[in-house]
Amino acid sequence: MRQKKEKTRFSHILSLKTGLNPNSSSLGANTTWLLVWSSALAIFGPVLSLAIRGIAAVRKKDKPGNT
Amino acid sequence: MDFRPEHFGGLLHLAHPRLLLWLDENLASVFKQDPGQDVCRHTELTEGGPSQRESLLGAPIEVHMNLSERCWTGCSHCYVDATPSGPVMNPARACRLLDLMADARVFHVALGGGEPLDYPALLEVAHHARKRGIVPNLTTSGTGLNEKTAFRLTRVFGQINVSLDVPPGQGDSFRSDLHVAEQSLVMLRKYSKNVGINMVLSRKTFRQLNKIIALASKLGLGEVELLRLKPGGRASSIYEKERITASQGIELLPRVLSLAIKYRTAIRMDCSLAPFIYYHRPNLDVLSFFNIRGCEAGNMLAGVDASGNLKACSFSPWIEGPAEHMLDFFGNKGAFTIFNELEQTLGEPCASCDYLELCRGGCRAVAYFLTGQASSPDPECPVVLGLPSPYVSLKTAMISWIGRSE
Ligand code: SF4
Ligand code: SF4
Repeated sequence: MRQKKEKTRFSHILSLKTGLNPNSSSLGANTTWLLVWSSALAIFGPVLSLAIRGIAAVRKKDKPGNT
Repeated sequence: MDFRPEHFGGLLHLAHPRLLLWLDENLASVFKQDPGQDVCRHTELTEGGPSQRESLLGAPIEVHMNLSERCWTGCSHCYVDATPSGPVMNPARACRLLDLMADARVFHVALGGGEPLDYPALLEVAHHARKRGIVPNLTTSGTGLNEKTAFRLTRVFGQINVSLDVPPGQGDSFRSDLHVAEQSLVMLRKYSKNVGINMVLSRKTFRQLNKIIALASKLGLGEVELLRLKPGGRASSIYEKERITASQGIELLPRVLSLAIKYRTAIRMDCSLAPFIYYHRPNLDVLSFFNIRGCEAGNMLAGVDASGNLKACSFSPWIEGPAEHMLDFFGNKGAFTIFNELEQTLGEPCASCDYLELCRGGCRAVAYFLTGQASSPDPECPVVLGLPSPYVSLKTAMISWIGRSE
């Protein structure tokens, strides 16, 4: 099912486009940004999830009845 | 710096760095000189139109204008079927059309052809665009370029790309004078860093992708733009034989990203290649923020051919009218109907695709050529072909990994 979701806003800038398109036939998108951001997510994603896992483990430990 | 009010806030165009920013109302208000300034120049026209397109801009951000459909190179994949006797736009008419674009506050114009270097008034038209606050950009085969012209071109154009699909001496190409293209790149690069390669992907040239990126890196070029072969002009007769294969389509994005790292070169992919990006399910917010979009014909871009016909994009099979009427079309939800109503008219699997809003069903030129239907999903999209995704999205992987701690 197609998801309709709220757009993420980066402060007051809704989106951006870099460079100039010299091609007289179509609109070029710089895929390098995809790479940069995917890499950032790939690095921070596991760190974030590690932190969440850590918090989850501590909470489990603190629950009454757990030793 | 140039600002254009829009219904969501406004568009801010910066020359250095070369950026176009979509601002919300709050930030846009800083740039609005008069609070009552027209939020969207065509507000009256956009009301009550049949389309529900939310993202419709007041005018395109760029217009692609073919000054001439004359060319001596004879590439077999030429989508305008340029010949030595093709139509040419009168320079006075080209300047009048640029004036209209300036009135609509279009930011960029891409001048092409045919071979624009054979157009005697090319520099004059480009300077006129600059004078009216529009950044001109250029695509050329490089045929006939000399040092003096190279220098003069780099003074006025924002970005110049030379068409090259195969490095010289490396195999079958759509054109025969590959050395000319390489020499032109060397000449242009001497005077500007804003020079790049336009590479048309076919099943044969796909094998040369690594070599083209390596060449761009060796020559110190700013970017390579990859273009999908489109079924227009002479290319129609070779399209089905020459288009990239389904497996090449799947391989494209991972290959591009690894080449961008290896050669530290910016690689752009044209709008018609969007389904091959979305197939790998990249993050929607990242795509949307960096405007990695599919078909923006009739919204972010419009096309004008050498005969002065207005089209939603240069490849659109439909002529909308004389380009002199462009102000009636821009920002008008009732115009460019085939394109503006796609979100309502596209069938499955596009209708329920997560990427529909960005992709808009793939390339209309390809879809119409292959199916004869204006609102058919792009038949070459790997999702439309029903190919299983080889990648698990990062998000899904993360969620399942986090879930393991419960
Ligand atoms: S299914 Fe349709 S909307 Fe989705 S990526 Fe393919 S062509 Fe685009
Ligand atoms: S029809 Fe759409 S996707 Fe195809 S080239 Fe034109 S703008 Fe791009």
